[in-house]
This record gives sequence, C-alpha cells and structure tokens, in this order.
Amino acid sequence: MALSINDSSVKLAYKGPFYIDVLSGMAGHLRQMYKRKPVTCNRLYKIFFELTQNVAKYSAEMCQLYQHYKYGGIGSFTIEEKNNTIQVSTTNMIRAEDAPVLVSYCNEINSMSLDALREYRSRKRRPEPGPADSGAYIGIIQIGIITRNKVEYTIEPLSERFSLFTITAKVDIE
Amino acid sequence: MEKLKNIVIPANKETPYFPAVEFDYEKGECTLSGESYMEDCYKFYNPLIDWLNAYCEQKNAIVFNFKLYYFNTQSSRMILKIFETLMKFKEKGGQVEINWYYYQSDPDMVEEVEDFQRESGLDVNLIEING
Repeated sequence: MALSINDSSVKLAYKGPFYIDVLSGMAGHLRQMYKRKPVTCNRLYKIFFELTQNVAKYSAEMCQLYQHYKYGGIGSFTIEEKNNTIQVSTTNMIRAEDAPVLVSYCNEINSMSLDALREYRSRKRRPEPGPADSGAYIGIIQIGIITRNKVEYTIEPLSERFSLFTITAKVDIE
Repeated sequence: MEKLKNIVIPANKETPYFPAVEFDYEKGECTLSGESYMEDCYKFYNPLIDWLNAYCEQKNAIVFNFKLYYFNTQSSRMILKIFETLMKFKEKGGQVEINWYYYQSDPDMVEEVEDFQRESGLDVNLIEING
C-alpha cells in the first residue's frame, strides 16, 4: 500500500498500525494545529476518531505486535486542506466480499438528510451488537451528521480476496 | 442491604481515552468527565452501569453530571444505557437530575444531547461553558 504525499495541502499523514495511543497522540496534534478555529477543530477531532477507529477495528490487515492493544488494524490517513474544507481520508485493506456492503452503507448515508441521519443513528445504536456488529456503519452515520457533507469513497481491488477502501470526510472550515 | 462503595477513577494523561469517574453514594451524585473513546467500552462501562442499578435499588434520588467533551459512537451506546437505567429509576419513582456541560465551541453537542433526551425520554439540563 503506497502512501504518496506530494502536496503541501497535506497537513498530517500516517501509515501503520492504528493503535489507540498513536491515534490519541495524532489527535492531540490536530487539536493544536486547529485550536484557533475551535468549532472546526471539534468537528475534525470527532471525525478523525470515527474514521481511524474503524480502521483499527475492521482493517483486514492487522498488527498484533503489542498484545497490550485490542485493535491493531493497519491503514493510512491523511489530513488535507482543500477548497476551504479539511479532508480526512483513511485507507485500509478490506475483504473483497465486504466492498459491496461498504459501498451500500456510504451511498445510503449520502442520500439522507440530517434529520434522517439522526433518526437512523438512534435506531442503529440501540440494540446490543452481536455477530453482525454495525459499529462501522454507525461511525459513518456519525460522520455524515457531524460534517453535514457527503462522504467520498473508492474501492481498489488488490487481488481476488482483498481490496483497498478509501473514505474521505470533509469538514467545512468556519 | 450493603452500602455501595464509591467509584473514583481519576483522569490520566497517559490514557486520555478513559473519562474520569466520580460516583458518590452518600452525595447521590455521579460525574463522568473528559473524553471517552477507549477500545473496549463494554468492559469500562458495564461495572458503572451495574453500580448505577444497585444504587437505584437503594436510594431515591440521583444527580448525574456529564462533562464529556468527546465520545465515540461505541461510547454513545453506553451513555444511552446509562440514560435508560436512569429512566427506569424515574419510572419507579426516583428523582433524576441530569446535567450536561458543553463547550461554547461545540454547538453540535446540543444536538447529541437532544437525541439522548428523545431516545430516553429524560430531560437534561444543558449548561454551556466557555471554551
């Protein structure tokens, strides 16, 4: 998985295991970078964790080097400023069979109004998670609610069994 | 019935993803403060909810303060469980006061809390603080 940074609009980037302490440190750095825009900063902070914790938990590529951590999903993220928005993208490996499910999640969420998303979130977070844990789905719903923008995504097949999933959320700079 | 022991978990800079916890049996006041995005929400919150259930069997009033400035979606499920526990307490005649403190720079938190209110049926006092 290649990570290419050739643009000064990239403010922060990382590739590796998404251990919670790594994410926590990065998020602290984000807070410092955007502390002069507190409303934007808060939104950015929230979607950063929603996106990255999905990678930590659900990436098909894992690093369990440190037994201390429950989740060691591997991926990459970039934070870019473009067109008066801050764009947070994560990329991680997924099983090829999960691609249509993720596409369906994103399209469904993108089609909903804010009120519909809030109602949907209420329904989705109520039941206890079981084998079909909808954690990642609720995370994407939350991103739609926080950003008030559609998420963008790409799926790049790597092999018969695996693909790369990239999702981008945009926060308007206020 | 045996009196419950207080739960006190101080904030820890090395693990900022756990909120500070103060559940005071004598005062009848519970506070969660900081941020909540730990890896295993159930492991952290289930003992707190067990404590709350036991408290509600013994006492007749509670004040619950939320000073959570960020929580992830898994944590929001557990927060909703707390609300549901408090609602059951209220339905049995308990007095419930819930205060939610939020930063002026986080107006989105108001919507989150409104949704908790709607989902649980409980009223929440929203208190804006500078920052």
